[in-house]
Amino acid sequence: MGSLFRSEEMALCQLFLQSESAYTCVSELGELGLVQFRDLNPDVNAFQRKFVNEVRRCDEMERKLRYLEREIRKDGIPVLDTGENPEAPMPREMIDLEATFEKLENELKEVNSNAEALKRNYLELTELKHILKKTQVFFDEREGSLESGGQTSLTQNLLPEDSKGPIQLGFVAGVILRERIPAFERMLWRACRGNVFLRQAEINDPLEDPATGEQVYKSVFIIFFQGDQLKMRVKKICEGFRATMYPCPEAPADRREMAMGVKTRLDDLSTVLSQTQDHRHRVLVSAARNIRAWMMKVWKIKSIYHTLNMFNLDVIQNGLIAECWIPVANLEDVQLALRRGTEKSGSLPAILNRLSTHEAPPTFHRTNKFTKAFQALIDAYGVATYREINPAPYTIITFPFLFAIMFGDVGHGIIMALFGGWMVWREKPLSAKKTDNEIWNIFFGGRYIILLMGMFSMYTGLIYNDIFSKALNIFGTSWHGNYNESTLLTNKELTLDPGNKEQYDQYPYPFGLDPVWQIALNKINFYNSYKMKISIIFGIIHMLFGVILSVWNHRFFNKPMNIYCEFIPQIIFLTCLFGYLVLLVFHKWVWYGAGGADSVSPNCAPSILITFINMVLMKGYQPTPEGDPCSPYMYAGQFGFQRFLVCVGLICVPWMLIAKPFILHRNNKRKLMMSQANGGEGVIEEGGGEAAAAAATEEVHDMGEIMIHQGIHTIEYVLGSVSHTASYLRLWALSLAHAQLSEVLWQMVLRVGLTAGGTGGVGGVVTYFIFAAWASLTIAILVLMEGLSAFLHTLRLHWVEFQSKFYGGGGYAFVPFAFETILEHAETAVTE
Amino acid sequence: MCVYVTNRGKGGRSSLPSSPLRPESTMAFCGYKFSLCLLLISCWGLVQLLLMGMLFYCETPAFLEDLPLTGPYENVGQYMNDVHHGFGTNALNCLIAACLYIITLGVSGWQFYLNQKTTYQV
Repeated sequence: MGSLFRSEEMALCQLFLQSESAYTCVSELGELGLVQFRDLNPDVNAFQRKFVNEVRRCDEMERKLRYLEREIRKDGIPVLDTGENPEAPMPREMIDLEATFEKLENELKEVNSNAEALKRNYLELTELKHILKKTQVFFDEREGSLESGGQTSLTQNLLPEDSKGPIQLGFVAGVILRERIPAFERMLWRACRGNVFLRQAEINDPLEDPATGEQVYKSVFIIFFQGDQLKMRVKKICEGFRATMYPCPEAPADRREMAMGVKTRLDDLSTVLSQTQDHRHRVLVSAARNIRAWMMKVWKIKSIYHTLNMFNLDVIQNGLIAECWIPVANLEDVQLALRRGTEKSGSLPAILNRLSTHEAPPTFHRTNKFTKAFQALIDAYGVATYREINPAPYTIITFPFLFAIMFGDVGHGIIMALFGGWMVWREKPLSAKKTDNEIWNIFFGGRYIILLMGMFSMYTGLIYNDIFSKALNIFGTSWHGNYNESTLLTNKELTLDPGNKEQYDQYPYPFGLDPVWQIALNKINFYNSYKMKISIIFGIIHMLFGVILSVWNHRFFNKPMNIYCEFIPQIIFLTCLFGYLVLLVFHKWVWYGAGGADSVSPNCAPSILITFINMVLMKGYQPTPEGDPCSPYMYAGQFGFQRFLVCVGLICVPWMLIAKPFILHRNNKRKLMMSQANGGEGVIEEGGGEAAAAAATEEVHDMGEIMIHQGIHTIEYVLGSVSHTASYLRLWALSLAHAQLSEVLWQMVLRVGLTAGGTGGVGGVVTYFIFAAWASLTIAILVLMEGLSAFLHTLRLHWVEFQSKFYGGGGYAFVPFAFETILEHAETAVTE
Repeated sequence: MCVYVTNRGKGGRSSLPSSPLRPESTMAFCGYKFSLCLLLISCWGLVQLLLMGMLFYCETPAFLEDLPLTGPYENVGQYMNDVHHGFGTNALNCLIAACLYIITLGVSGWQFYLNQKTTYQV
């Protein structure tokens, strides 16, 4: 039976695989994705497993592929994701793959190092070219100054007056990073005591640093000095500041020759460099075509070997033994997959044996893309016990509905539904786009939930008659004001009486709340009463439903005692007290109204809360005072009936507490007597006596445990029924908060724009800006924040109030060996 | 099938001087996300303000408190005059704002389209 009603039946199977076919069989099972393998070597170190070498080789291949991927991404080459799913290659193909990757890696490394060397060369030549260009200016100045012999030349000032003709100045030319120039200058000045002369000029174009590839700005400098000592000092300082020095000839003719030589060499180098880059690009493009398929193949091989490592070696038959959990409904598929695998490798067929075990199997729910999200919500709290009733199918409707009760607004519902609808409509392209933005992934994973929540919110918004805090008057309001002008002028507030046929049409608005309530001053009083009552009603229905679901669990696990000792008293207790409360609510709604007899007028309606409290406290009969048309009782015989209900409810408590332990105790005693009788007839009397004594102590232990367990269960249920019922009032509270927030936002933001008025089009422009602000705040506060809040509260209501009535949640999830999940996992790990 | 393309320029020849920017990338003054937000808000604003404009014109009592009314009134006639006048003004203002949102829709749609062309990835 495969359905969402309860989890699938699982079988523990033993697999005998021949050594040759093990790899292909596991590959086929991986494609199938329905088998969960158990680790039969849990104590074995990762480095001592059988296939550790293969895993290591796979790691190497992965490393090489990642290097290739990085280089491809660096060059900005698009990687085509054709969505193909290559099969895991055979082990002998692995060697071919390894060779290919090795070759590619080496080629790329060689190209890269060549390119780096060439770039370094290019950089040096470029710097030399700049130096030759800039120093031309310096030398011209120097020539000019020497010829003119003017005072303006700085070289002149450094020298003593009685110099002997043209001074032999040495110089050093080089290139340095622009940022370092001030410190460089200062260091030179201090170290050489101002006896050297630095001229510098900026290089306008940025140069590329060959190691990092980033563009840097440099400057050309030339330092003039006299003497060898200064020369050594200058050279040391230049080295310290990592300035590259170049030999620059003094004579202008030499410099021109050098410049031309440099130019030709630069041209040659740039040609070679561009050809190198082209070659690298070509290599990368050809690799980019296959790289995704290669990555997927390597991941698959690795996962297959990891799985093979979990198997036991069967030396006798030269095969591998595996233990796995398989859903019973899929045994045929697994057999087919195994057959395919053995056919591929051409060896003896694999044998699948079903084992029986007392171990708890994993819980497997067969979900599709729609139900997966709801199942995830349930599993987040606790995975269902094996073959327990699954709360997920009901959650599909109750979750959006309870959310919508708290979020009821047509406008916000439309926004949410449109967002969910867009995500569902564009499902395929959006899921193909793999981002590591976690928030987006969460929203996208819950797209069906969001769509349903939005649609249900539109419905409850129509019921509450609330669209962005305004009401829609579709069918015509039932209330009319008929006061004359003088009354209107003299009274600040007026009341419309529902008993007055001219003020109220005597039949209500056909669908939802009357639109007049949005503009009524006592709106909150009315909404409070209404919303609180429906919260309690829905809460009791939800909890009753939860208790009823437990019957299926009791029947399936063959525990009829639970039905008699737990389910029946639970239902009776809940119905007698809280079901009666709901009935009172409905009765009061129907029985009391305006425009009728005095005893059923609205001001005579007794408070349900007070009635309920008096009922539980067993207050005495309260007779109606004389001349008072109002009676504290809603119907005849209420007092007696309520007393009866309380008694029945009270009886249920000891019933829940004692019945089951008592019956268990009696059964144990009976078993003990029977085993004692058997033991007495048996050969070993002592053994029988001992066994009986052991069983007796065990039974005492069990009794204590059972009593405690039952006590906890009873108290939890009885107290829980009160507290959970009150807990459902959060449906009212959040709904009120949402409505008020919406109203406040409209009044504080949009109304400011609308009441600004203004002549001409000024009001329009103001409204334009204010609307943008109002819209942003609506989305941020009302849709996102309130939506998240309501989502959380609905989740809590489901997890605690609903599931505590029947859910065990003590299982563990079924995690099959599937390539799909492994590849997805590996992809997200890479993008992080 | 998903292809992601980035602006390649001259990726292989980074040692030579960089190429000039494509004209479209200078015309886009909004980023991808900002233009998308503007686009959505203008769609919403257009629809809602048109509706509100029509409703103000029809003088729905739900919008009674959103009118620009000034101070206490002497008599009912004056009050009603102001109410009618207020409805008319607000209807006009909403329609003007809706028109402004049409322009914003156009501009943000154009920006969004430009941003879409240069990069497909979000």
